[in-house]
Amino acid sequence: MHNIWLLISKPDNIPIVGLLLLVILYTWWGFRRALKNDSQDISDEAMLSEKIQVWPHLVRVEFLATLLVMVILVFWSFLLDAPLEEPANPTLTPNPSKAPWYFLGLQEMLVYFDPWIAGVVLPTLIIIGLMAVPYIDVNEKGNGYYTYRERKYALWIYSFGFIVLWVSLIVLGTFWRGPGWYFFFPWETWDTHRVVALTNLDFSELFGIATKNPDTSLNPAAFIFGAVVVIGYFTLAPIYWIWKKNTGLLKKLGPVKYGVTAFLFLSMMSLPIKMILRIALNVKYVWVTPWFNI
Amino acid sequence: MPGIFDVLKKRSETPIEERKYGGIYLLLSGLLFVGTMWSVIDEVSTRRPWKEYQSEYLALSEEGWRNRLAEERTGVDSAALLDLFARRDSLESSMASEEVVNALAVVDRLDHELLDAERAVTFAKSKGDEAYYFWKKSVHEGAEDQSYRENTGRFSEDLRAATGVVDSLTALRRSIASVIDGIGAQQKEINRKISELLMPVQDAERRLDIASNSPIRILQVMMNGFDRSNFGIPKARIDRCQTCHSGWKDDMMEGAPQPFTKHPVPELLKFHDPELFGCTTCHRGQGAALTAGLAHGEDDHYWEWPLLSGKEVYASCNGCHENELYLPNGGLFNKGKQVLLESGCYGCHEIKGFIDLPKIGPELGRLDEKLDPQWLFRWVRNPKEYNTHTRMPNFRFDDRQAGAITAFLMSVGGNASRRSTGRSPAGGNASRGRELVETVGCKGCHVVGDDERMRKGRGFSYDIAPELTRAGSKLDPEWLYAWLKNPRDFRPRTQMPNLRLSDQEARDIVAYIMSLRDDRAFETAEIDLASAEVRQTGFNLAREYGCAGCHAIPGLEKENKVSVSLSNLGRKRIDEIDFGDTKVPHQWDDWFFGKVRDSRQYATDRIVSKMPVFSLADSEIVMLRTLMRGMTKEGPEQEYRRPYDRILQNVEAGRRLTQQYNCINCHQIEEIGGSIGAVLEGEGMAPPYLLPEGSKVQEEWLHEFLKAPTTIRPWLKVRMPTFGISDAEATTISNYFLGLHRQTLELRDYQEYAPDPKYVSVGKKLFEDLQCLSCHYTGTVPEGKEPADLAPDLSMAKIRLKPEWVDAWIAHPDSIAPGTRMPNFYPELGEPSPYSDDFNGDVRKQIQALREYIYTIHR
Repeated sequence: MHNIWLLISKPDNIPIVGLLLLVILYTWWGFRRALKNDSQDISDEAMLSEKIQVWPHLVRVEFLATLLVMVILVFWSFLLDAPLEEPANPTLTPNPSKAPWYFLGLQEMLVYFDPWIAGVVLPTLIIIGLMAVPYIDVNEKGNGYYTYRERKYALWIYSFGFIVLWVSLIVLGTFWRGPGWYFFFPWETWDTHRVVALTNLDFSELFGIATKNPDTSLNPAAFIFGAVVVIGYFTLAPIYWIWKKNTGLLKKLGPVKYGVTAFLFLSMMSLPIKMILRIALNVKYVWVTPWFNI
Repeated sequence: MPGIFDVLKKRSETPIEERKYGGIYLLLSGLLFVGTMWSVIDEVSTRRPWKEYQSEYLALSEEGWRNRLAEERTGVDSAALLDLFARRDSLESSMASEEVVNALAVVDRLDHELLDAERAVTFAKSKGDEAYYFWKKSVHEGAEDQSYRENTGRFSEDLRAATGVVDSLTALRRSIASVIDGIGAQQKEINRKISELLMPVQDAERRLDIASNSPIRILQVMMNGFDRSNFGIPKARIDRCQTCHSGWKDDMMEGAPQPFTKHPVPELLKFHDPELFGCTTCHRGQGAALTAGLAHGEDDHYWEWPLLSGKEVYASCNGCHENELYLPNGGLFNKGKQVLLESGCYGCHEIKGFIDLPKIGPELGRLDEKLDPQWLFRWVRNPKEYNTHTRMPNFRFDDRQAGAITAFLMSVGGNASRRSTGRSPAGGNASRGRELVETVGCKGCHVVGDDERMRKGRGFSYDIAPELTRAGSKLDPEWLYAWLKNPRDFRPRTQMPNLRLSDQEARDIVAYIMSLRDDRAFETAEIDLASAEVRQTGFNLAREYGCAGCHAIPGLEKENKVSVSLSNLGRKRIDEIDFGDTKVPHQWDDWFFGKVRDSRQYATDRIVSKMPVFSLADSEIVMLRTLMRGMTKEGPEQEYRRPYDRILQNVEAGRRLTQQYNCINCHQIEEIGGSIGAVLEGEGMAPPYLLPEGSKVQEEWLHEFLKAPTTIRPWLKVRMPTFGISDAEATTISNYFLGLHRQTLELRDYQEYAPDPKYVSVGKKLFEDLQCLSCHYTGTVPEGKEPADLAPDLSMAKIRLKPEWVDAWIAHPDSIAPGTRMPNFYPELGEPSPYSDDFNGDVRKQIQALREYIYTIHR
């Protein structure tokens, strides 16, 4: 318990605790409003037809919100001093070396993917994907009011991507990752000297195909195996299309929007899949190539 | 009572235009006001504890100085003061007398006339120069202008006349002004005496003024470019320690509670001025912080240099003085260096400041001539069991390992049969031998039997040389005899000196030592001395465990240090230190203490520890620990350090050599040494104090003496041994003695010197009047005197002593050798001599006369 308290009460970590509570609160709040609207014939928001002036009705609320934020910041600064540590030393980095809290999700991805994939390809895809949302999501229902019924897929994909893959990885990186970026339960002491057995294998090796030949050159069989698995994973989308043929959703999206959405979705899902493979089966790489490893 | 949700629900049902925000606004602005007040209170008091400390200090100081001022005022010699005032008044009235007033008027007039006359001189000279220039110019142009020539002559005449006027006016003025000047000088003298009498009062007034008028403020020292950041960029260090510790230099704060107390060792601050060096340079801590917890480091575990508490502060000396073995007022630093040096840590570890030192252990080889293999086996197995005070640590070898090492050692450097020296040690008298051992100086290094006075005098748990209590069972008498006669014959680099024993004396000592038997029962072992395989095992073990770090062993001449470098040990972080399976608290301090206490305790079933077990006393471990805590790679920048110049290097080399040959056990050279005094009976029997030596004796004489000592004080029973040192080593020692007086070795001819007969005759008279011969003598030692009443033979003075030293010695012997029995005949050099009127009673000349006479006594 002592260690949990140490972790939570660390001045660096207090914003993360706040973040966790706020995310839960707002998610609950949003779903509550959405389900309420869905149970009514007409949404709460639609009933507010009357329009009022920005000045003074909006501005005074914003002014009060500014005051509230100032009060919070002022008292926060009284109670907690800035958490300074020792001077930076290029020959001696702290252990664990953690990214700023908002990047901890990215840092956590480095455990499962090579830096090039986790640090460049996936963040780029996240940005491109978010930019593509207005063009993919052309559903007009749900604009301006809370609803669950009309936007089931959008809500679940967003909630999974943001809450599970982004926020929870930040929480994981903050509270569960200790020295050496090893996994520590919150009640465990962060022991710098912890030894963890390194027994990772490549995916093909689970099926008896060695990745490397004895002379350390790449085994072509493993290369082909990995390529089949990875490319096969991304062909799930066309298979789904052919299997479902003409459902309303597919018709509505059309082949291009469907292709982009499916690719982004599968890319997103590759992270939890790789996490499960790593944690449950000690899989290091699925596909080893001379240029990149996945 | 409506619940909060009811209130919110009701509110959400109210139209926005009708909602009231006044309450929320009041609440938030009230909170903001509270926050502002809070920050004011923080700023004034809760987060600025130094303000209260400083005002408390100022109040304490003010009260103290006020009391002191009252004391000083009552303590002033008022009679003397009144007398002085009266004299001052009378002088003032005499200044007002008619005679003086007239004289002043005349002087004033003369001053004006002088001014005019001096201007006439300047003008005449200037005009003459101009005329001379034009005359010479015309000469060079080929047409000499006669008028300029005449003018030149005329102006020279004018100049001469004007100078004459000035001279006569000046003389006149001087003769008149002398009356006034005399009174002025008297006034000055009286004023000086008055301010001298009032000085303590004025000083107290000044200090009281400072204490009562100082504003409360942050006091800081800024040292530009003192540190380097981890990226190599110079940066300033700022120390604000004095803000709370304001009384550090206030005499009134001596013994006051922290943080107001005065610095306990002001001598150290003379060289390390806190206004220049700050405080954290030595004490560490976070200089910029202004609350105790952060400044001292206990509330900020990220601060890498927490305060060194108490005597641990001596760790910091090593940051700048890593090359020096000894510092005045060096406390635990000096002790730590001594323990490190004498324990030979540098044999296995590379340590900054301990490079290229001789090995501390004896050379090994030809051991078969000296001792018995069973003894050696027992020794290797556990040296501490044989002699608890030996410096040799316990390697905890098992029987097989110890046997193998014994076999190896017995085989090196000679063949495995005892060689005969051909000289018989038989026929000694043990009781005479015992007396010799007691008196000639053996006990300066060796402990024999229960006589532990020398060990206690040194104050360390270990001995510098083997204890001889049971040596009779260990040593071969024939070997011992040869060894005593000339140790360097057997071990060319040994520290054991030659005491110039006669054959019979050596035999007596052999007889005595052979009577010192060891009657303890020790385990013995079967050792296969002849087996090459066993010897090879022993050789491998000796290499592995680093025997060659301390001993010169044939076949192991080129071994590297077997263990890690300790040059940055003080910066080792906790996560770099292994505590094994022990429950030792995870602190640097505890780890170090435990490591030296029992070096094997951190070994586990996977981590091997080969460091042998030393048996240092706890206090000695603390000395070492303090030193090693300061063993860090980085130190202050060069400009903040004392330059390690030629002279300092000479002194340091000498310290090392005198430590190596253990000179300091018999002689006190700097502040320490002379432990042998504890075993010598009677005052005046101890070897001389050597700090003055560099300024005292002639360089050539010293060199010869060091190489082959001669008798200077025949009444001493203890002998200055012949160490058989080389010319280079003798030079090192000479340079050391000279360096202590900031001099370097230079050749001087002391013999080419013609005494002045006048001085010699006066000197002879003084020599007899002052009865120098009641302690000193010339040629032969007088009979029936206590050794304490004897002083060296003056017939050696000319070839031994430097003339300037003799003068200084006669003038103030006590400041050269504190506690000397030489009387101070001339306490006041400025006053006339009480003994004779020669040279108008000039003391310096009379001292010179004494010296010149003494130099003629030379045979």
